[in-house]
Amino acid sequence: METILKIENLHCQVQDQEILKGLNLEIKKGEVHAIMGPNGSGKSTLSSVLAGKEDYEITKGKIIYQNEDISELSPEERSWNGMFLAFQYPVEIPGVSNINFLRTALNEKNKALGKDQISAKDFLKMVSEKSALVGLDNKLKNRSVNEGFSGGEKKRNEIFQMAMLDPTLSILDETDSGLDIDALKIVSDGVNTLKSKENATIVITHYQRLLDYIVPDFVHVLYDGRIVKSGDKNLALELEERGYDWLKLEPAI
Amino acid sequence: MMSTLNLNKNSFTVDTSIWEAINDCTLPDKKEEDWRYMKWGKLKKLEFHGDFPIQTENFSELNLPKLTGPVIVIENGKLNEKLSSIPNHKELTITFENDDISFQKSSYFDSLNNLLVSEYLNIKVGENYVFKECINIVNILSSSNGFVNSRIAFKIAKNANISVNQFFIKSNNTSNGLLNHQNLIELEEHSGITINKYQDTDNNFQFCKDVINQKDESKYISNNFSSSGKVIRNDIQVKVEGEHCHTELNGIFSPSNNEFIDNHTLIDHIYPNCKSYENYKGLIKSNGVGVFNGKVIVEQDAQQIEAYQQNNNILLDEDAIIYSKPELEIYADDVKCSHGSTTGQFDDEALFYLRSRGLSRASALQHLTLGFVNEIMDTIKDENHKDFILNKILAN
Ligand SMILES: Nc1ncnc2c1ncn2[C@@H]1O[C@H](COP(=O)(O)OP(=O)(O)O)[C@@H](O)[C@H]1O
Ligand SMILES: [Mg+2]
Repeated sequence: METILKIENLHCQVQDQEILKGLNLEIKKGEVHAIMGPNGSGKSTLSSVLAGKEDYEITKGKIIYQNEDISELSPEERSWNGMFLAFQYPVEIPGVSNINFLRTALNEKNKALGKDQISAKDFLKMVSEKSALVGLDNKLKNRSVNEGFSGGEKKRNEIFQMAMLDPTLSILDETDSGLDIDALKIVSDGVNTLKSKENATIVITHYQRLLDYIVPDFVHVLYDGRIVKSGDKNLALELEERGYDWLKLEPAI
Repeated sequence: MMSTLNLNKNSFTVDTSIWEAINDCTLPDKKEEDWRYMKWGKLKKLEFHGDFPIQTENFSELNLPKLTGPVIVIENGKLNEKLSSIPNHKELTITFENDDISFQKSSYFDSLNNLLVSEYLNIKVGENYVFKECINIVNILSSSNGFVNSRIAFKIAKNANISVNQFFIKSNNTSNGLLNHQNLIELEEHSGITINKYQDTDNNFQFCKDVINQKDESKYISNNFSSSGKVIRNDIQVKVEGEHCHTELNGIFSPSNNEFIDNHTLIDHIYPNCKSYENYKGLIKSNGVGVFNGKVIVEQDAQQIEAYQQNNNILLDEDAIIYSKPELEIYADDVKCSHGSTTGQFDDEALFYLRSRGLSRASALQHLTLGFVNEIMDTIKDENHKDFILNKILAN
């Protein structure tokens, strides 16, 4: 299978503090990778640096996405190339309509890819299809981005936007936090529906629970800025049982 | 040293006595709290002239939206008949009246307005008359270095209601003109007026004062959009002289490139059971300077007042400056009042969020800009006018 993402010996600094300390990861088309790890181990930093957040400085190593080193690309260019990050903490943006900005986003993507603009009719059709997929309340679509949304609604909105943008590589940063079990099932079903042989998903979580619904091909443990252990879905079960402390005793691999 | 504007005597056709009275007036001092930040230097180094021709032949010379409804074009303080279409209703009379108000020396710009306006526009709305269309008033400055004084009196009788779009603009190449304008508004019982003000005078100066008197159950809504001007000074002074009144002042101001936009507002609650809402947003660019000074007074007998005041500012560049001073003076004990002021930049997290979904940086900033002013744009009911202003904000 074709490689979508290859991270080689990635070192990353935020405000002069080294957070990622030599991270390696390879993801192929059709795969689901789970990244687990205790709080503060660098999971969100990894997702931000993949999505191109400024101030996250790569001091060493490479991120190769679809055979291209993307470290110089802006967040929007990465998005146009099919990357999507579902935020751990989706940002509330008062006064900016959820639907209007998404329409602009789609059109700017189409423009960048040399495609036609989407018609108002097709857009609305797509909106109702994709919001049904995650059970996003109709009235939320027209509200300001995430403003006054409950934790669960914010997460549904993230997956709704993911569905609209149809990414090649999705990074879901703790999408399960703030979801009750019913919502978790709906959102997971949504993600599973979007899965194909042509795309790949990184699921970041620190609960095994989510992985019952979105079943990973690989599970990695991120600890202190490095991947210290990789395995299949059984590793997640083991972590659930034993916690992370035992990993500190083992040498990094 | 006393300071005055440098006016070219020969170009003003006024009696000697008036000229002497003019020379007797002095500009406010920088030490006066209300004028602390004023950029007098820009004005003092220029010489201003009086009396100008009406030159504007058609609307295409002006940067205006499509105007529907009555149009009154006042160019350099005088009626431009060719461009105006003034309605002739029994209940809505729009006439020019001789100014026979006897002169009383007051502040500099008030005094000069008083002395130099010979005819003012008088807009009278009869009892129970509700005018559905919007009245467009276009104030044009078309003489460089011209000193123009103008005044409009609005008299809204019982139960009457009108909406006004008031534009302050300049014609193509006009620069260093100075407009000193007043709106005097009287609202009788249960009447209402909405004024959408638009100021885009670019390289010119503008002093604009609105004085409003509100009687019982009247409603005054002012939406002020100050886009550009070398110096703009806005004074809005509302005296709420009745119960159950609604007073609403909304503003967006966006100085850039060394421009100076100064908003001074005063809402004086004298009677009980009234509500006032004030919300101003500053978008300060490059080395622009903005001022918000909003004062709300709740007098001793004005119980059960609700008064809310807010000023939020975004500084878009390092050199941008805002002076924000919300003031509440409360002498009654049973009131609900709040005020607040914030100044900051656009949220980096929000910018990253929008870009990560595929919005270019420029487009994400546009969305954040619209988001910032959205609350105020929502108060403008005239869709045409709203679109015009939105496009202006984005083009700036
Ligand atoms: N913007 C930032 N500025 C400074 N430190 C940060 C920033 N973002 C993350 N960190 C630090 O980086 C470390 C990893 O954080 P994070 O990537 O959020 O971990 P996780 O998502 O695994 O909980 C933490 O010590 C955190 O304090
Ligand atoms: Mg995190």
